[in-house]
Amino acid sequence: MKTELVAEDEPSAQQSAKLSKAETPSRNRRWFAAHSVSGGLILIPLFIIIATGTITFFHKELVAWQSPELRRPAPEAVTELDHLIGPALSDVPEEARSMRVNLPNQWLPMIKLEWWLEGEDEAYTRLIDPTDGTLLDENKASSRFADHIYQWHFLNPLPMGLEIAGLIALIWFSLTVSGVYMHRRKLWSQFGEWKNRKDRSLKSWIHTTTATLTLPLHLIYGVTGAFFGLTKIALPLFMFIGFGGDQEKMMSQFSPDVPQPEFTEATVAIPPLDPFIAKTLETKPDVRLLDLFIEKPHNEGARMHMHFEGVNGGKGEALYDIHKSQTPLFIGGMDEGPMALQILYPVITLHFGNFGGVVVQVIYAIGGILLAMLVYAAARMWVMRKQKDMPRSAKIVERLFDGFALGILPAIAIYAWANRLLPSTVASRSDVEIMIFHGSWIVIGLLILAIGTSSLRRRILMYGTVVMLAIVPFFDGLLLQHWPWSAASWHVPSVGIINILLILGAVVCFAFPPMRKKARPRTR
Amino acid sequence: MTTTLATDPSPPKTKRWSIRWPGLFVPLATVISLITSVNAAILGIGLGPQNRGIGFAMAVIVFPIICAFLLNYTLGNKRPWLFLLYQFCACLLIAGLAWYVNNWRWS
Repeated sequence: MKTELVAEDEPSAQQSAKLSKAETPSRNRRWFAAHSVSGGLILIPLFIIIATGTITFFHKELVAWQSPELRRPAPEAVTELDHLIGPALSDVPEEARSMRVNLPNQWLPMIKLEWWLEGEDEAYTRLIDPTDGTLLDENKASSRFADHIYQWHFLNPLPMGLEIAGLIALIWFSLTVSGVYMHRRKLWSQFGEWKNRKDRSLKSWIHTTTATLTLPLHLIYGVTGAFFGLTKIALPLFMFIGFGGDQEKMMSQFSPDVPQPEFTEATVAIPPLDPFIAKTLETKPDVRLLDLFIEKPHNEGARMHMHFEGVNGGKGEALYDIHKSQTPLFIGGMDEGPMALQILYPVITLHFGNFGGVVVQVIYAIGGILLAMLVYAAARMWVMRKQKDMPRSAKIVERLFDGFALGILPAIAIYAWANRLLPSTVASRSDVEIMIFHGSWIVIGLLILAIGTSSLRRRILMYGTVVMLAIVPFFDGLLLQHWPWSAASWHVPSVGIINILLILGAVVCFAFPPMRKKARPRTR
Repeated sequence: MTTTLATDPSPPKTKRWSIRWPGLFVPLATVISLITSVNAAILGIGLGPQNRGIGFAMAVIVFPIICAFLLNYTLGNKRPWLFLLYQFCACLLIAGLAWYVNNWRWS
């Protein structure tokens, strides 16, 4: 074989061209780095957003579940309100910024009157029995379990939480784009490659397959999540550049073509509301009324938004100037409103998964669990990959993820315990529940940060959550005689189903062989 | 001086590549991509059909999509700072164009 000796520091022209090409990272490699870096930054909040969002698909059911003392059969549709809410309505002060009357439904079989004062976020509440109009103990329905978990879905308790959640949704969408690009050649073939995988390779397989299965959800949540979260940032830009700085002109694209309410200095008593209900039901006889929201109820220009739901689940509203006329300014479904809403409403509905009943809710919830697995696998992969180059950073990220992202799960279970065990006589019961939730979450996070984590400790977090949640239905039985198998627990069927599922969840976890696999005692 | 065979079969190694200053760079790239994409979407409103509601709603949907691609191209660029500078200039240009088209056509 003919060989030629050359100096190493003087490569041939051909070799140097080859080297130069090889040194240039491919787009796949560059996008992988982008995927890894931006993904690593949002792992923890993204897991919190996905976990709380998955639970929130059952918000209505949880509203009933969080108030066991109020469980009773759903009342008949209320079509006359004035004789029921009259006395409570007199408590609404003249300076009220707005008020809402929630009509009873199968999940909360009470009339709920709320009002807000200028400069205050907290609502003042009255609970009214829809059968005889008597006032009920507000503390019995004061829990904000479902609402507060929903608040964490868009990080609202944090400063600028909504904007941060929006940016996270945007980065998540970009991760989807780079992920699809990197795996474009093995989107389907990867499903058959699960054998003989361990550790990081197994996590990688879980990450990519769950990402492929949930691809439609990535696209939906990326676009709509960014739209929700970035409204405050994007809309001013839309206003200044697209509409010459005219906010009213811009917002008119989203509201029916009716004149804006004209508020004056004069104050007047709230008129009877029954004629407005009758007028709406006369125009739309098949709808179910949801709530009545009134802007500045004692002002001459008060505007009422009467929200309703059609038989197919589509939402709509009727607008009235209650002190001026009983003729509606607008009445119709979202599909009859302005063009912008006609386009955006289906997009928003896609985000919430509330367009096809419980079947869609369950499908979305399964998708949510897969997404949580995806983020968990991503976190494990990231930690395993960085352990060699950045052992200290990898250890901190691992502890932070396990403590504050996985830690939210047992904290939610503790929140559920507080919801059942705190007596209704405790003042500001809902605030105490939230304090217990936040306190336990922080304690779990700090504990993991201090003592370290391991696969055993992760299992303890997960199993602890499942076991604590499975015990909650027994509290209902012991404290209120609402055993999961008794009729009282099935007054609201969805609540009975939740209780049975919580118990079944624990049974499956402990009976299913892979779950009982011996954990490796690896502590960092 | 060491010597080696010209027919050495070992392929040249690929240079390791990673994003520097991710804590600063990712938020910066996200914000500039966001503003650029919103401007591009607003330009779409101006060029859109007579009903501005359609254009507006479509713009709201489209801006996260544009932003996602811009973000990947920024973070995955060989010269990210230069790309960021180009994007900033493009952002100003598109914003000016969008403002002009919208206010000229719809005033």
